Amino acid sequence: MGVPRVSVVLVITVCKSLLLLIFKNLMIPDQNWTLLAKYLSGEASSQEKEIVDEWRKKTEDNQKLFELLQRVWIHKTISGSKGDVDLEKKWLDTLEKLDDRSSSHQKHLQPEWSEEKKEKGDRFFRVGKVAQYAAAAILLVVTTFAGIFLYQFYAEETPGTLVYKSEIGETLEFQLDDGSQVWLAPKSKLEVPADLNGSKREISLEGEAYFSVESNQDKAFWVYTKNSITKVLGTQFNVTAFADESLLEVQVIEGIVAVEKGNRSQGFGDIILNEGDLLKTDEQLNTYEIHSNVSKSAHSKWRQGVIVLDDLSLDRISERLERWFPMEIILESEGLADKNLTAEFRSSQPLEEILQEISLALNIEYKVDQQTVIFY
Amino acid sequence: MRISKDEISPAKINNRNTDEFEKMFRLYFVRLASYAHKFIGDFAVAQDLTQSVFLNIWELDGKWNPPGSVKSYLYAALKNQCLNYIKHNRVVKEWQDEESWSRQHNHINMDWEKSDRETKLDYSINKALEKMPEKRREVFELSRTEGLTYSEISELLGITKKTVENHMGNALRFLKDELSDFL
Repeated sequence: MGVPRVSVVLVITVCKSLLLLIFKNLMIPDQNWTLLAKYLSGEASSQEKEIVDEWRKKTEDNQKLFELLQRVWIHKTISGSKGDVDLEKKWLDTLEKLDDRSSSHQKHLQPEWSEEKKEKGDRFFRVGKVAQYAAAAILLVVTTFAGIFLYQFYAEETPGTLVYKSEIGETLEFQLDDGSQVWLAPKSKLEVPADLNGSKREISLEGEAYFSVESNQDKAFWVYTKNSITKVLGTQFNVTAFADESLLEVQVIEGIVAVEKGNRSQGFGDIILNEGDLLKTDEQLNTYEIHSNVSKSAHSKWRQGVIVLDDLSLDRISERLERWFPMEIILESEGLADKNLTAEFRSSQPLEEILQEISLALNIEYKVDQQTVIFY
Repeated sequence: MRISKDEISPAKINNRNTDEFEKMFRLYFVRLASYAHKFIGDFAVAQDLTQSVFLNIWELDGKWNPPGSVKSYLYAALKNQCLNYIKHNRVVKEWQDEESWSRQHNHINMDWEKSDRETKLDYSINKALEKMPEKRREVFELSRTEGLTYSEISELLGITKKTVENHMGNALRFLKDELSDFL
């Protein structure tokens, strides 16, 4: 009795491993295509992933095919044109209609809305124009007086400082006493003297902020970061200087901006940036690059909750994502840190989706364990 | 932590929680509008239809009860809106055809010799997608472009998960054949 039972078990085991062997080595049309599709769309179980991964490693052709199909997946970011949607405007519009539908008002309210909307649009346009004139004026002033402003820095601590601090995933927008508008990126800190209308306009920043500075030709606007000073008279620009990244970036959206290193004895002195210029410095190396005609929105889209990754390495990407989402990212092997990626995400997107796209694009894996994300 | 894929609570929206409603709107509006754009040539109309999906949910006055996930409800409702719109506006449909034709026409005018591999690949992917049977393409694009899960697609289209799997596999094999030049 015992003998036949053993042989049956044996036969089944042999069949199973034989099947698995065939499965792993050959491209059985239907089954493997669905498996590959599952893998690419994130539907595969860890066991199924393993099978695909092993199949990929088998031959160079397999790997090539896989990469091509993966490329098809990534291609969506290019072909799936989302058009230009002003989400903010759309939401406000929806909110208005919502209110109207909730309160049982008559439909003839509609014309009034559209007039109101038009008025808002006009006002917005006017503000834009004023800013343009201001910038034109600065262009002249800065070039004439640049020498005078050069070496007046290191402000004393003024008593009474207002501190603006943004949390993870939070962007703040506020107006300073002098009328300048500031947007503060997640996990950033801005210190502003309580009396900004005194003799100098000096604020200090740790992190990233976008400034639309109210024009005042008598009083320059100074932004201090750990190792740099940015000064302007009235313009729009974006400064990135996080304590955990030894890097400073200043992008000029409008007007002219001067940047100098805090420690001039070994620094690169004064740098004049024009409209569209992006300054990148690695302060440890004491070198800097200026990129001209950089897309003006690239460094300020975060104000609309867009996370722009502009040819960034995975360790920089991780630092950035940690500011938008409450989590810790771990790179399991050092080689991962140098993988670069260019992409755009919305902070409203589910984190899972962002992680999936990153790992797909870089051909790596990730796993989530509570508040920790591990790339491997 | 934003790990969960579908974090919108219909119960909160039924309780007139505007924060939750706003969250849903911000999370889905752009994606839905671009999905509607596939049916409706005019992007402004596509956005209006998308907006009406959200307004309709609010108008249900606390009785919103999506049978499956919120995401697949939104896509299904929007698809219905689009199909209704097309039914009542034949003209628009014709206009859309004309536009998609001119879009294709632009493709044809692309200078193949001067384009790099990536551009050619993008072009060929688009071409291959156009050739795919409609249902298969729909399933494929819902997964790839819209990022819907297999179960969400099966809910949305009223087909089994197995059928979704098959469509996906077939789509992939088809693409491989069409793109064999790039291998």
